[in-house]
Amino acid sequence: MSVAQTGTPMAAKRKGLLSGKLKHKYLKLFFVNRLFWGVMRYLLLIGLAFLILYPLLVKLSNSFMSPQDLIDGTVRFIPRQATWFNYETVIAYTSFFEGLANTFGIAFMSGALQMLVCTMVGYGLARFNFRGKGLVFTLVVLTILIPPQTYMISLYMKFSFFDIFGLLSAISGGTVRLMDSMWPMAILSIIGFGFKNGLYILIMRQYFKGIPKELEEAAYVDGSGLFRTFARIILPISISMMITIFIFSFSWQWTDSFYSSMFFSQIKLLSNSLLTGFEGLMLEGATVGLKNGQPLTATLTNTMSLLVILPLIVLYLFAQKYLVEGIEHSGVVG
Amino acid sequence: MSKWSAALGRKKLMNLTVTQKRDLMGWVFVSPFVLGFLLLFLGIFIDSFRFSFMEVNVLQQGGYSAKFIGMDNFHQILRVDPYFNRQLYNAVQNMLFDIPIIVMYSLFIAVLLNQKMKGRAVFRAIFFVPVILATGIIDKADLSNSIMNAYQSIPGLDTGIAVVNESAGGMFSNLQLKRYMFQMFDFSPALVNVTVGAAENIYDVVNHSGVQILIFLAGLQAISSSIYESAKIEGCSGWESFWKITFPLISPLILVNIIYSIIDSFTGSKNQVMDRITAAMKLGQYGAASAMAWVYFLIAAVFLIVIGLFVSRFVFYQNKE
Repeated sequence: MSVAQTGTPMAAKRKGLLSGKLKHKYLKLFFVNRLFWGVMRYLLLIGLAFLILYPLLVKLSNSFMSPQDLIDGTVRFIPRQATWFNYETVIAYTSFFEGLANTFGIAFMSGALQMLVCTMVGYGLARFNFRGKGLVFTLVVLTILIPPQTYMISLYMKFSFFDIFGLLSAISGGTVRLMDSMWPMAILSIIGFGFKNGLYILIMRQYFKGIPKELEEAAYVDGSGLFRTFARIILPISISMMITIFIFSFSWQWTDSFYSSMFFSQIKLLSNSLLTGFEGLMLEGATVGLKNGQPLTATLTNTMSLLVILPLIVLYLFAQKYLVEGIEHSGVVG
Repeated sequence: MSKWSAALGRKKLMNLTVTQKRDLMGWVFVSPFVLGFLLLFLGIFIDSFRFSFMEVNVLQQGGYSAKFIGMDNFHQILRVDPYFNRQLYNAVQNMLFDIPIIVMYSLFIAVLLNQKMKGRAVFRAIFFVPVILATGIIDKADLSNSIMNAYQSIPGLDTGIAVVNESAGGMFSNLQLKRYMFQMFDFSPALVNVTVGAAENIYDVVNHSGVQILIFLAGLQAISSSIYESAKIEGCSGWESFWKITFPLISPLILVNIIYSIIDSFTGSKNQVMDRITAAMKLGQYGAASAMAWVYFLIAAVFLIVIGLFVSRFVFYQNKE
């Protein structure tokens, strides 16, 4: 009894103390301020993230709509009569899987080559103080600055009538046409002049500048040669950065329309079929082909672009860890 | 004679220190780029420049003929062609309009994504999605896609009316917004246009600032946290430490991003001049297309240099090497 009597005020007192503590903690301006900014930050980020994902969601819902849903004003986001019709049409009309295989081949080849070459050149520019380094570096920066469209015509000419100092024409009596083969992209990748390669070289250079020199020096002291050090020490530690470069170049090559439409007009590529669009497609039972601006034409284009980016999304889901990590360690600072 | 010079060369090589010899190996590493430039690209650049003064015809049996015609190509595109000047002007105007918005937005987002919070990894993953997806052909296909345009206009979202050939609705709402801003806040017309334009272009801005956010984020990570800690101990608020610490230290990257955005805007897929050059090339007007490309490059270069020099005056370098 007495224990209980003395206990209650104690508990009340403790409770008061606790609530006082809580008050102290939560009713401070500092806390309110932080809460306010936290909420604002999440609202903003979620809103903008929605803005980024929204086109993808629209495409997704749009691609399942049947032609009736498209003209039905009450159907907005959820298709009433979901159908695979769009996918089937697109895959049949563009011979999708052939295009997928070709695109994958070209993107993978140029991604891998550009990754290796840009890593090498970046390493050379970051670690060695040879004469003329400044000049080479200036050239790299210039290749970023000059839009490829400026020299597009002569590039086209060069690969249409390919020749190395007249050697080839001396041997075979004529120039070689390299269009519609892997060669233009392979050559451009090997010499580091592919799509945005200057940027990759710059990123790799900044990355290598941030790696401590002592690593290599220790290897040299242990008697490892220059190239062995590069292959056994440098490449393994820069793997996440290299994967970043690979993702960039793979996916930019995948969605590239500039080089694709220039070099591969006869080879089936996803980007070229998407660029051509679905104008003039004769559907079963229709008397006229599809016109530009019709809902169905736009829907088919949406479905196609969704199919084009689907492999990239899968790649990104697996590799985004490396992308974020690689960028965090790059220190692209001037 | 040659023996003598070879011997001299060997002697010279032997006189070098180990480090100097190793430095010479740097040429091996950069050799793909240098060889490619010398063997292939030097010729391509020179050719492209020459073509702009020539009439080029591709021959049926292979090869091409080129005839020197002086400044005719330039005269044709700049004085005779009714559209090219206008397209150039539009390209420059779009660029000047977009760059400040893109750079400010990406810096803001990068600062947000750099803060500690729950779900940061998810947000980062989402904000880098445009780097992968909103490039090249996807961007181009969405631009001319009536359904995407209809869904992306803001009033369509609010009213829930499915309109496919719309955009009239979008115009109306923006007009209302503009009138409202005139009446309520007494803004100047230029400011109103910029603000409304920015809101209209929000998709563009979000989708074209992925790389810039990446670059800014990398730079923010490189700022040592001890600077912020000491500033906090001295009683610096978040606002102050942004303007006094983050902003100066990130300013080299602002320059980098401005330059990157200018190039991106000049070579981007929504750019009419680029389409024009491609179209001219497809029609076989190689000379005129080369001339256009060089005029365009010169204008882009002038803007790059002027803006670059102007901005670099305000850039702060922590350790001058």
